Amino acid sequence: MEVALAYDHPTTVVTTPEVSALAIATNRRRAPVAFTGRVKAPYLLRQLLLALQRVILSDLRWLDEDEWLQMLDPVITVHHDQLFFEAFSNDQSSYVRLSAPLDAFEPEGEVRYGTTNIDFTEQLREALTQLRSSRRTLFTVGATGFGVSTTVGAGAREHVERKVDVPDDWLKGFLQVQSAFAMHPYQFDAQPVDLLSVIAFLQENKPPALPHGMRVEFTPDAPIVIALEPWDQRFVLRGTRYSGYERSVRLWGRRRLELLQGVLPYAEKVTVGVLGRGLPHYYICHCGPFQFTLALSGWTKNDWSKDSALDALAPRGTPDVKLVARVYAYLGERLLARRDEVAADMGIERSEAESALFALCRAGRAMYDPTTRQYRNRDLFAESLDIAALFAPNPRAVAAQRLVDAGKVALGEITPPERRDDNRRETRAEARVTDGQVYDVLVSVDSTGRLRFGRCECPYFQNNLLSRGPCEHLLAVTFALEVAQDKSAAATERLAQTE
Amino acid sequence: MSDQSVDICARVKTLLGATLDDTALLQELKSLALAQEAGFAACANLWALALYERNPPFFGPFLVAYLDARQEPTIKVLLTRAEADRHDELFADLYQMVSDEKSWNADVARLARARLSDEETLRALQRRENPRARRRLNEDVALALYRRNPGRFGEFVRMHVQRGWGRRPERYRRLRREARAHGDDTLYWALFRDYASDEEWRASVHQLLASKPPASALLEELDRRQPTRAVSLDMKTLTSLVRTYRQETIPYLEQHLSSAPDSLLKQARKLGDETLYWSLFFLAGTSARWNADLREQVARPLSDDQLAEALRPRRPPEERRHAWRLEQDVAQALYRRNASLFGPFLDQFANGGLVALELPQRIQVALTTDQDRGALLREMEALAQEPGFAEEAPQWVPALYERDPLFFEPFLVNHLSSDRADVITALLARAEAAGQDSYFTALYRKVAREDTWNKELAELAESSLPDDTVVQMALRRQTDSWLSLTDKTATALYRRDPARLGAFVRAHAQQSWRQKEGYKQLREAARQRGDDDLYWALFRELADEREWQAEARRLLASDTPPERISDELTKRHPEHLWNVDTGVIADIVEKYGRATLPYVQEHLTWITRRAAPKLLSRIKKLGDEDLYWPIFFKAGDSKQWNDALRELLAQPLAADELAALLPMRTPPARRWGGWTLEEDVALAFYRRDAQRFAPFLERFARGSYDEALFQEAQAKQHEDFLDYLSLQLLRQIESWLNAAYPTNAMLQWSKADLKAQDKVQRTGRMLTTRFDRLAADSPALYVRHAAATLSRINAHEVWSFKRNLSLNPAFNYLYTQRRRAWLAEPDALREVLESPNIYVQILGLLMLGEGGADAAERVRENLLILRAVLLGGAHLGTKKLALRALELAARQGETYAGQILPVVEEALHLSGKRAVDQQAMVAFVRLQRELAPQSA
Repeated sequence: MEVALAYDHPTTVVTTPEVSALAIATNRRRAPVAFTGRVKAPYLLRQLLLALQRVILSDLRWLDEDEWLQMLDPVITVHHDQLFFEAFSNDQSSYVRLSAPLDAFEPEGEVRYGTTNIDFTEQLREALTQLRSSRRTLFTVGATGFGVSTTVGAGAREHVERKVDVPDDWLKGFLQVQSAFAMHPYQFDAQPVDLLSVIAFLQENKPPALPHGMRVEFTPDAPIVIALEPWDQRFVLRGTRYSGYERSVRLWGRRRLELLQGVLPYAEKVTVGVLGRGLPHYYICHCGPFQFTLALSGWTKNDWSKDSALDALAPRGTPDVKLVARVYAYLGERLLARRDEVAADMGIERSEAESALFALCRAGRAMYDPTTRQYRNRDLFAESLDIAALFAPNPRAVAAQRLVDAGKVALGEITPPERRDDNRRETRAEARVTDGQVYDVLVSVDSTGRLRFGRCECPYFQNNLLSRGPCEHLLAVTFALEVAQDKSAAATERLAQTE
Repeated sequence: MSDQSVDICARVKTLLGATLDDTALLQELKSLALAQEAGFAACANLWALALYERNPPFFGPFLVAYLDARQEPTIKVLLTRAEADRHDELFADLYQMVSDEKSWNADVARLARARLSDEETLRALQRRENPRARRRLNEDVALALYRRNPGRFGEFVRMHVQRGWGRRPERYRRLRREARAHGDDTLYWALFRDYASDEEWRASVHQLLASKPPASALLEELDRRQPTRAVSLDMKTLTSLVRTYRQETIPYLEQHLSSAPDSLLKQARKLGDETLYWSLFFLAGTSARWNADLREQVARPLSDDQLAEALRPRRPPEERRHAWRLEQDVAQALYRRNASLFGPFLDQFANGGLVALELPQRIQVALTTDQDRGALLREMEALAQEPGFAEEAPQWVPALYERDPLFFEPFLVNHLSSDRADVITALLARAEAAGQDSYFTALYRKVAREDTWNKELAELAESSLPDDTVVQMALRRQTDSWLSLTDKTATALYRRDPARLGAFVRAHAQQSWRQKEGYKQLREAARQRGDDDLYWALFRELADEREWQAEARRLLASDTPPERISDELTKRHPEHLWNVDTGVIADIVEKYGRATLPYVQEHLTWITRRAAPKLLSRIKKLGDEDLYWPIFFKAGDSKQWNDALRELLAQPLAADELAALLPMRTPPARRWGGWTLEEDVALAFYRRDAQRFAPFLERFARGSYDEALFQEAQAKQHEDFLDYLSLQLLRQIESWLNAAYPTNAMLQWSKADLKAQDKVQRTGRMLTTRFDRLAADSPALYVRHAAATLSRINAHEVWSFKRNLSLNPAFNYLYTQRRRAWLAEPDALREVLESPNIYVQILGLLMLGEGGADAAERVRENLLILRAVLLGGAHLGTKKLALRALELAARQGETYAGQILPVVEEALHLSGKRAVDQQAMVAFVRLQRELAPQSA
């Protein structure tokens, strides 16, 4: 997809003895977004902006100038409760979001809500380091001037205009992040110093052999532990206490945690979200009024776009186009809302609201904010997306549907949430799938139809577990279960009507 | 001579004529020299000789520091005097300033002929030595000196004719003859080893062998002749050497023999000495020959034990065993013969050892075991990790393909090595017949070679198969773009089906490193067919500079509508020509004006590489400044920019008007390119309106005139700008430190530069005087400006902290003076604590470490930063400073302790090399103990 970017001037930091002005240049090809305010905690904002830039530039690959120019600039969104930056690392394996409540600023002048791209280049780094709390610091988004009077020679206006042909996989990756957030991973709060110890250990020790994983160990009634392989070096996350079923989640690409090194010393706590083995995980650092979120794909080479196939875990079904449009209009007006609020205000089922919101997230029109657990209106692009091309039907889902249609799925015992003895609010189904040979399959699905857990005997599952999305057999059982639940609900309804 | 120089000369004369003692005179001269460097140097003839005559030992260091090669005539006069007066050290220092290898040789030649005693001559030579850069005598000079007195000058000559880096045409034949004539073996052989030609050396060895020296003396004689470069003896000499001295030659050959021709080995074999033969063989034989010999042994009708016995001398020596690898058939033959008896031998010399030899059997078992395809895949994946798996492809490839071609496709594609072209080719035929396109494509690219690929495609294009089939088969063979089609093949494919094969042909019609293909036929075919897209694509890909220029001139001469000109230029823009004379583009710009801009802006760097001035002058003619300056800053240079600014300054403009015109003439913020103001321009702007133009100067004023600007700013009491200039001067002082005060390591190749020392002290004094002035005004004012100066230091500016602290007077002042004043200024202290540069942060920590009520308050205000220092990546020393500040502050009362203790406690839990856990523990426990009674 081709995205047009145009800036009247580069993003600049102008410093005089009394005032610093950080003027963020915005894309003139998009609807104007504007905000001006005096920063209450300039030093903290500076450190977090530097960390944000570090994530964006974190890539071990060498990029030539053309490749740099093909990277899409970060986006900024201004809402009435907060403004936030979002970006992807160059290698597409890390997503970063820096949010600031508007009361972290003393607003001055007009505010225009919306989302736009910003000029946030590598050269800005040196200038950012000049921000100090001892000077009045103005933060400007989308203004055309510098905001500081003594500016002769501070940098001539330089009109920059370029078109970026955003690769589909990049785009898809960005949108996939929302799937990870919206899957409601298991969250817990850790202390920054414990994660810093993990990072220090990784920096100081070269692993002598494989594996290079990082296990998050959950033991009932015990603190959560991070164990580093192959040393089995264990770090107890003080202050945590786990109360679910016992499990261990293995994650890779752990060196990317270093991206938090500049943030953790300023954080009061870190909210960690874990989905499952080899699946994305995230870290929300609470730094004063600001929140710095780093979401990492399952492992470094497994970037968000290519292999995560998180969508396959999501509930199925295409929501009604008109409903999606209504929800979009609703969000456009409210800017942010919880799923239940959307359902209640619009008089629709929660699952319908979820499905429509998911569709909007996939279309880049909304995003899920894990810090407030709300959906936000956020137009990633001014241009419309070809969703059908981006999210072509997953071949495994097509194969799964074929298995269901051919009657190759035999459902066994189905355990609804209320009959489960492990406190998990999910429906569990056992099944047998015949696909050349017979596979025993087990799935666990939540109330919105999202696949939360699964097990299969096929080689694909044995090799990848869920880290590359479910195999066709897991999907087939999920689909068959969906049909069975619909039938059961209809029968219950009929029975109720008869009675 | 300029007025300024005349003035300086007059001042020098006055000083020299004044009744000053030596010390006072020296101080006055230094001040003048440092303030007016160029002018003072220009009148060196006035002061240099005068000072020498006044007191050579006292003024000698000054002369050495303040004279340089530009004052050669003056130095030469001084040299004559210093040598005559026996001021050897002064002579040596001055001599190195003006001599190079050529002039030194001339000087040595003169001394060799001089009527001095040998003793005096030797002393004169030694005086001219450069201990830090060895110089080389040319042959005539070396010979002249040597002939004068071989005993006295032999050693000097030998030291200055040694072989070194670089190309040396000299062979010193005459000098060698001379040395030999004098029986000077040391010099002769040293020269021989370095300079004798290969022929001379071989002749010498031949002669040596002819003289039949005893075996005990042989090695010494050979080594004495051995060239210092890598060379080898001819076959005849080698054979003679081995035949005559046999085992005695092995130590020599071990060092100098890198390969052995057949005939040498044959000779050794003829001698019937197996040990000698195999010693020689493993020194310089080849693995192929070794395998051939082993093959012969295996084929002989020997029992296993006899074969093992035969292998014993054929076993490579332990230290070289990695260089000898058994070929597959030999290894297999031995393995089949007796795996346990030959196991150790095979483990050492077969690729992959015994494991690899056992592999075929394990593969066979896996393939024949009754198991599902998933289990088989997992087992094959495990086997694929074993060495030698790829070589067994003929065994597992057909079997897996038969079993389930699609399921095993990823495995086969991943593990089939391109070395097994035979196996792949067989599989390709089956995959193509079965219509398995992805299989075919993945495997085909493993074996495709440019020549066979072209041949295959050409045959396909000419074949009588239906068009659809041909297109399908050709597209299936489209592989990575590095393969280039020949003109013949490309044209044949294109003619066969231009619509469907055009894109394929375009992608592969390119000049490869192997051949420079012009694609004349193909381009003609595209032209005939009116296929503009392909024709211009080929032009862009293939046109050389001449062809492109001709085409551009044709375009210039044509009457292209202006709205089309940019597209027409883009259509012709070469993809692979980087350094082209693009003057014709400037002509097109002149003709079409702004219409050419889209093209010019897109390719500006390319166009201006060789035609920047022409293009700029054409664009200037268009009279559009908005257009001109952005292009100027991409194509122009700093000198042109300064000229343009001079023109601007010369106009009768008010400061407001000047300021309004400046932004357009200011290089863009993100454009790297060394845009620097020259001194007169910088000073002119500053004098015009100091406040207004200071920010402009801060960006672009870089250079030796910082001091001049500093003086001007001092006069105007422009303190904010002085902060910037102070930092510039601090940086300058730092840049002089190594010259002024070399470290011990540096002293091996350089001497302390007294002039640099004077500069350090003088500039340091200039800055500390300013700091004192500010402090006298008010300590708060000093701290504020000191903070503003330090705060400008960039994050990664490399500073040698300890050296600056001890040697840079201004830096030392900032870190050690007026600490209490810092503590009374919260904003200034915060400014340095928030610096991105750790050394500036350290200054803040040092101040906080002073303790007291003010310090405690400052610690409390900056707790976030101190916590970040403790938890971040700072060095332990820095963290200890932070801890000390925290500990002292906590002692100031419960309010402080209540906020500080949790921070220290948190640091306690950090682990790793940068953790301050032990120190934190001590501080924490100490604090808790002390504060417990207070809390109670």
